[in-house]
Amino acid sequence: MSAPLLQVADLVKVYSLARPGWFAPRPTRLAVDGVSFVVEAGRSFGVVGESGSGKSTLARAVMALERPTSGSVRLEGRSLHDLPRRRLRALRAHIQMIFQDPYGSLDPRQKVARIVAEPLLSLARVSRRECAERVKASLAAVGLGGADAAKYPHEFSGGQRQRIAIARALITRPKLVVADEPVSALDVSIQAQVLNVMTDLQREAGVTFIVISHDLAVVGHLCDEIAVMFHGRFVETGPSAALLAKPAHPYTRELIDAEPKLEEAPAAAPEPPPRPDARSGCAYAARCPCAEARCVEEAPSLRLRADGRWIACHFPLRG
Amino acid sequence: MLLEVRDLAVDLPSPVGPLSVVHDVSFSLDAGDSLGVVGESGSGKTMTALALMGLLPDGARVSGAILFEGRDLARLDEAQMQKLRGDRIAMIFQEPMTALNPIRRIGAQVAEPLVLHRGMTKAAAWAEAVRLLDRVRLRDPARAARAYPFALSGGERQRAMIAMALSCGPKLIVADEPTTALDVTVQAKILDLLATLGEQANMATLLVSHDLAVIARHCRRVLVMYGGAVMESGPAEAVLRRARHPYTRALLEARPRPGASRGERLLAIAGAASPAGETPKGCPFAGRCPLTLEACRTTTPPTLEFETDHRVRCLRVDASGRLT
Repeated sequence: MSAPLLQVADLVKVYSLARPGWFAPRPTRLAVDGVSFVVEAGRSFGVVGESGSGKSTLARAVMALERPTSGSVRLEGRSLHDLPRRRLRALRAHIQMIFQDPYGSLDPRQKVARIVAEPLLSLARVSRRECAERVKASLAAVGLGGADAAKYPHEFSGGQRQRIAIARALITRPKLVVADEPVSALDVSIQAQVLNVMTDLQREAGVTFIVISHDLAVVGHLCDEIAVMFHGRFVETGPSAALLAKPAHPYTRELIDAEPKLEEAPAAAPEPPPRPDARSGCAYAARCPCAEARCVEEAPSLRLRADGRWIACHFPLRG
Repeated sequence: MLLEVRDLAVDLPSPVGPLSVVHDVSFSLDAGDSLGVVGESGSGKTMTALALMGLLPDGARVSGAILFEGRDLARLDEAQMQKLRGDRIAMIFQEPMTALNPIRRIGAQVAEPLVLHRGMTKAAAWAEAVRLLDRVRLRDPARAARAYPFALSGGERQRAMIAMALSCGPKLIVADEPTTALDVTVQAKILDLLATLGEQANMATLLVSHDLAVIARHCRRVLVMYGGAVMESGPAEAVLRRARHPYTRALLEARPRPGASRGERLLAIAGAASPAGETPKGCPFAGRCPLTLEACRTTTPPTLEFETDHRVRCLRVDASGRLT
């Protein structure tokens, strides 16, 4: 049996913060607290969570931009963080990233051809002719013409820029593309262009995405599997459709209910009474409408349910 | 009627001459009612909101009428506007971190309008500020009042902004993307809070957002803007369920729906919004609309009304409200 495309095991990232006083110990912050998951080739994986949940730190660790405090990230069985620098560089061609802001992530003084070719030039050795052909093919894959290669980023709209960023990510023919909030910075009418390009790439070019977003609808649209992250931990993971239709963790339920929907009449959710902050127990207990005494005392661990979903909750929702 | 805007137009100065960023915008708002203005970047929604507040950039030219409690705000000078602002009309901005003064305590900032408009003493205003912070359900309001903005979370800062806006009991609150920078769970709570407070105080709200779903959930009436003009307006229910304008329909179909099958193709709107000021003639959406006729590019469509209050501006919509 071959190794899965990506395997993340017990990933922990602790940041140390500034000392509050001269001799005080450095306080630490646990950004990612023991996260494990597997991404199979061709099955896109989504991570949903609020700001501060650790989802972007997770993305950076997967991209080997950040060294985890402990745990491992394996791409096709090879651990990214144990490799010597040169081998890691060679591996980088297989994992690429799309950033949130297509205005900040493209160099305004470079032509599109140069921007798109960049990963290829720095990570692989290719002839000039092959490079030009790959740029053309990459731009075509995101619905841009060959003539666009000679233009500068400012000549494009936000949606087109994000497509240029995707073309750049695709040029090395990566096995995995990490997309951190790929459409959040775009207008609604433009988001659809980018989402359609991404689904076409999944279907036709077999690209596997890891989509990091706060937007459940976007993640549900692009991914086969979703993990819901809260305070550095996964609280629920499972197949998208099942997870969105029948959330088992109260936090997933809260996220789904909070998402404004067009179909539904305005509904005011009752505010749960604030509870004392749990240090030892479940991180969500303070906000959870179903929390009981046990939740504050003991942190629930992720457990596999019969339907193939993992849930970290003592009292999962039924039906 | 609390607010009536008639034929509002805003021109901004630019090196190539005045740019028309808002034109032919008319709407009204009753006391205690809520109106949502939806649009993408460049649609003129924020400029419309700023025109109401008299906060347009320097050199902006406003024409048309903005009747608020019988007075035309478009004709008031800055000193008169200052008296109204923060008192009868208040505004909530998108980013509370930049809208709040980072080096003044929250309590002092919430108390400021009370000192300015009500002539309260600092101590009395501070006590009132703490009460207001409690009303927007900030935990431990006395402590929050003593805190500086950086010490609060995004949601807490936005609650403090709302407390500041509410301080003098305004009749109209203009909220420009008040929750765009916040998490969805916080967003829902803030908007619910705004709605509840509006009802309690019979305060009208004008909510500006790029998110049709947010507006649908929190406003009774909707105004859809594109390219500086109103495309469609009416009761939220009618506009969302029986959208007539091709642009509104496109907006409704461009978002992935929760529960739809994965990877289903979305209806993408080709192209991008044309920059402001480029389409003074014809329909601003003409370049991107799938139903564009030659006439759309040259004639400004008339506003048709059918059902109660449901108005559409599109040449392709006939008198019965059907797309032809």
